[in-house]
Amino acid sequence: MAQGENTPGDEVLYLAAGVADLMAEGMRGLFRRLPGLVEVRQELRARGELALRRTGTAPEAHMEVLARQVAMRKLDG
Amino acid sequence: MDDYTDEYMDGLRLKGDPLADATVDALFTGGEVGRFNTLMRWFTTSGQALPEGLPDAARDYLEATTTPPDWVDWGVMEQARQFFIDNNVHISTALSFAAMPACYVIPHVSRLLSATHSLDYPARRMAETGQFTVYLMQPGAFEAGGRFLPAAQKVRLLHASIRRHLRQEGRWPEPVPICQEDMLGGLMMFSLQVLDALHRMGVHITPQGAEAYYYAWRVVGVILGCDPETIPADLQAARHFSDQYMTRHMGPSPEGAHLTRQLIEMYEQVVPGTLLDPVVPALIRYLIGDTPADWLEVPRSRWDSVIKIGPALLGALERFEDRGPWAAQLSDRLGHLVTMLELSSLTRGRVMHYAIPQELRADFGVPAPTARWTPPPPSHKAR
Repeated sequence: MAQGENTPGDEVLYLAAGVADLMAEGMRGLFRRLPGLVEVRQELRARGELALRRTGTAPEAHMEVLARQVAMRKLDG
Repeated sequence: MDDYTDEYMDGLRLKGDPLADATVDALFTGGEVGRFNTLMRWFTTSGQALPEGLPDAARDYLEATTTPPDWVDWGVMEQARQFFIDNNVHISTALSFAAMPACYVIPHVSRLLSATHSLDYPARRMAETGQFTVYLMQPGAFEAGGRFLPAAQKVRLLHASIRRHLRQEGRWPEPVPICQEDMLGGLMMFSLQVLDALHRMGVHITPQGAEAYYYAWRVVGVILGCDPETIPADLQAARHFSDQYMTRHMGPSPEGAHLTRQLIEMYEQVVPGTLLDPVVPALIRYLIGDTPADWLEVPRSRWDSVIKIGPALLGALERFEDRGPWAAQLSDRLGHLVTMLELSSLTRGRVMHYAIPQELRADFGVPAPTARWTPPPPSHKAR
């Protein structure tokens, strides 16, 4: 096909295909850099464990402190 | 005055609300309760003329209690309103899952709620308390057209009528049901203990915000018939009173466990689906602690440890709000929507009337990031 016989419709088609190809290549690159699902899961799990351990040391609820005082007093008779 | 000895607290157990008690006695003696309720149904806003044909005792009471206390600082009340608007969802959550269980952890309060049959209608009581708080925090709540004062005037008579019924029927082991100590204890649950819960949820509170919120509840306490002289003056005094009250009375009871189960079931019905059902018990357990939660037989689940991440998520949400007015506005809109949904699902669109019960029937309920506020530490003055 000679260059000069292109219609405006073909021009739009080639441009669109070019954009699509560029995007596809970008996505392929992105996925190459991304870790697999298993790694993502492991990472999230580790983070979750750390977060729970961090919050596990939070101070007691105020009502809990009072309730323990009351329970101790009852034990003392 | 913040030396709340057992003798002092025992004295408060013998006091009711003389003005409201005398009014209710007069209405019952004159056989005028039915007429009073019918006339008062349409009396809902401040500044509205009192209905024609009111019994004299009722007219005198309504006239004596028609205005808020004259010492109220309206600037602080406006700060309290802003605090409420900024934290509406968090405050609703703290009221439902920390303040209500705090009521239930006091065995005689749970027994009172079950003696008045409102045990089986937790939604109704939550709706009444919720609507009361919404009325309180409307702009101009205390001015002509405000709905708060008439609602409070009715709630005060409702309490007085419960006192009278329980006393007359010999169904209360103490001389005075809903005594001054219990009214002040309740005030502490809705004020200081809500602030405790907000702190535990990771909500950022300024000292001014905390003091203003407490101030508003002091005003409410006076309007609901607490003796102004006995209301703890500031948050530090409130800590002493609250700790003393709780440690004097808190403990397990079958009624407390039953009420808690009703509360949890009610929220399971409000929230669609069953996936999130264990969140409510986990939240209660997190806010009040394991010992009181075991007393109330709050079920345990795997969510108990997950919920502890909640404060970090809330912190992230608050940082999002700090990104700009659009973010804060979006978050406020969502908060307003959630609060309205919570309340309207409870009231089911009805207006709560707080009528005086002729007898203790089954169909009525007792209403019953820079500077950051932290709750005062446990009171050493509590036993």
